[in-house]
Amino acid sequence: MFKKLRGIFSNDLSIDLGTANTLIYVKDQGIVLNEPSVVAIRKERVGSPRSVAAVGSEAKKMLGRTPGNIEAIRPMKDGVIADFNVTEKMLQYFIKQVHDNNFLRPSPRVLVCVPCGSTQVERRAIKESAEGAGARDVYLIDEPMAAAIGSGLPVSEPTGSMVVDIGGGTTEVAIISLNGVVYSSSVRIGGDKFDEAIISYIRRNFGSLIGEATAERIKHEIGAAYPGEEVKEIEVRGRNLAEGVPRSFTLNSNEILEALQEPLSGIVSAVMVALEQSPPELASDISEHGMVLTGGGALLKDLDRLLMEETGIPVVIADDPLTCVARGGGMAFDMIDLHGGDLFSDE
Amino acid sequence: MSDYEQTEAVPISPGFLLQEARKKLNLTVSEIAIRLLLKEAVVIGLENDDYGATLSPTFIKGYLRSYAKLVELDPEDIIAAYNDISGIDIQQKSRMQSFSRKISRDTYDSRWMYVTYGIISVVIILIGLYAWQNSGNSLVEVTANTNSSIVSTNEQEQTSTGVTQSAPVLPTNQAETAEQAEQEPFTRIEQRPNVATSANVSIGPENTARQATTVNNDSIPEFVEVENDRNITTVLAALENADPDVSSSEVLASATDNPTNLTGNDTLNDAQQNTLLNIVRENVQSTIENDVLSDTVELVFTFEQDCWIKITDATGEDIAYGVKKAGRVMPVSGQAPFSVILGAPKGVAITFAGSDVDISAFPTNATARFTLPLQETL
Repeated sequence: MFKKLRGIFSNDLSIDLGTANTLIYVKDQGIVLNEPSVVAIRKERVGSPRSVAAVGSEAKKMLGRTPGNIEAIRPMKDGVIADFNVTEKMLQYFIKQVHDNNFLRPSPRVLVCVPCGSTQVERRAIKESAEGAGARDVYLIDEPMAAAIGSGLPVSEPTGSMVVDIGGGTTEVAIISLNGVVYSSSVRIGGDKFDEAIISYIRRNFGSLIGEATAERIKHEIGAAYPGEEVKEIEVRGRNLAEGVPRSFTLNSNEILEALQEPLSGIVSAVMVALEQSPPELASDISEHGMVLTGGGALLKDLDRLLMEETGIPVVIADDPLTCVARGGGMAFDMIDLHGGDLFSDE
Repeated sequence: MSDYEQTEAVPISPGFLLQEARKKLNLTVSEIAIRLLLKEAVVIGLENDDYGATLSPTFIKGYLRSYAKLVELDPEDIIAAYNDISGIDIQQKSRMQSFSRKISRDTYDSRWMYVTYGIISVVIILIGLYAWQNSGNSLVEVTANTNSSIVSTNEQEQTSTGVTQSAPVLPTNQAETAEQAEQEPFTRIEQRPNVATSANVSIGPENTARQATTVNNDSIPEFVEVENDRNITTVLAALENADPDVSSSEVLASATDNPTNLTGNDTLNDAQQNTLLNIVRENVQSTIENDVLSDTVELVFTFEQDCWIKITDATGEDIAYGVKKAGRVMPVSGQAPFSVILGAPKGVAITFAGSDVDISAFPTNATARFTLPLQETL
């Protein structure tokens, strides 16, 4: 009962609990929080309780730069919870961040977007984590459904809509019609795999070791999924494995393209499988209109062109693809009264 | 002139910008369609700003963005121009229809809604019953007091063979109204030409809470046929008992001085009048001692806790009804035997004609029903 009282002073939240970033959408306010899913844990002495040192952007700055008593953790891995307690702390912090009321602990209704390929145990863990963070009620929705709603696809119409959501940990491919998912698949390939591929490529070809943050910067600046006419270059610094000292070297976009071939081929394969599995009528609709790319991976240069060349159907990038899932979840949350729970996912 | 108008009108059109850029690069519509994997009709539609009714804005903007990149334009400029001409906000929500069968039930007709309606209905019914019961209690008490407070007589007709009278019986004021009556003690005897015996007689109760008798033809709506001689004796007995200053002999003397008032019939001769007066006189003497006093019994109920009670005397009248508060001492009187119902007998002490009544034999946690005097029922 007290939880309901606190719920009066709380906002309903749609949370995109992503591997790389956590986004929170509030009704009539839009995206109110976009923070990296990173938590820095401080441990003063052996046997002493652990405390949260930083969450979000502050914690991300600590990644790879922490002393012995602080550990920067990414509690989400491959789209699901890797560290339950840290995830709960992170959610608690984020939920408190988006509420101005300091008098009562917020107890909102929360919609969490989960990968369609997550297991029952993983979904249960996400739900309990949100409840532990103070949520009054927790609803789950498949990420591709939220992405499709957020990108503005006509999901309620009797026409096939295909959405490819490339997140930090997973790539979700789904075909949606009449408010339901006709086909969905999830591959554990995403932005993190791109970074790992770049790190691996540089170590293999340049004999140098770079960190995740550097790999991510390389990806953002010169990363491409399809060979372009313009070749970009970037100078990076890494520790030379042979000499043991930092060295700088130059990378170009063609090398990064080569580095990304393995994860990109995995995404293309997932899309091709989805098209093969699609019912013919829906495949016809998709062939005519095309598919929609959402998620942070959609910002990789010429990824749409790669998919167009590989599949032979139009590919469009959604508006503001990073926030599509969170916005879609918020829109689905707003329509609970109208649609009931048919947009939501079972536990 | 037409070229001028066209250059004035087209800058906000994304289709015109794309078309100009395509022509600048010497590309045909079919080449664009092949590169974008779209139908030529769709490309022509994009250039003519004719997007069709069925195409989602998500796809339109995606096509425009791809087209702009292909012809080396800034996609954001094209999207801004599209938003200008279409008036569509970037975050436009598409209207969605639902296919869930649970919607209406979940939203409006859930079981909890029915439970809520049920609770509200029960509360309203209980409030109504409580209000009705309260009003009913006060009405019954008032009615009981009124019915038992006054007795009236009215002489209506007389036959040659005997005396048959129709007398209005007015309620007799019982001891419960003694306190009120003490404030206005009065004794009033009035006569009317067409009423035989002290036609209007109204006597207030004394401190002994004995009964009073009132005869009032004008104010009493209810009439009961009784034997005249009995009523007369009742009146006289009441007069005798209620006010020692006004004796029955005086009333009778008054009646004797004006015999027409008694009979209401001028055809009666002196012998008949004397006979009637003798009958009255004899009845007065006998009933004062036997009938009236012997039938009226005084009861005193002392309540140690709240108790619902109903007392009915031998005449069938409810002389007490309803919930009595703790600490109240309620003297009542009427004709024995009394039918008594007590809701909580353990908190009630009863005195019957001055002697205590033992009701401990009745279960204390259940309603007790018995008749007073008690020895007759046990």
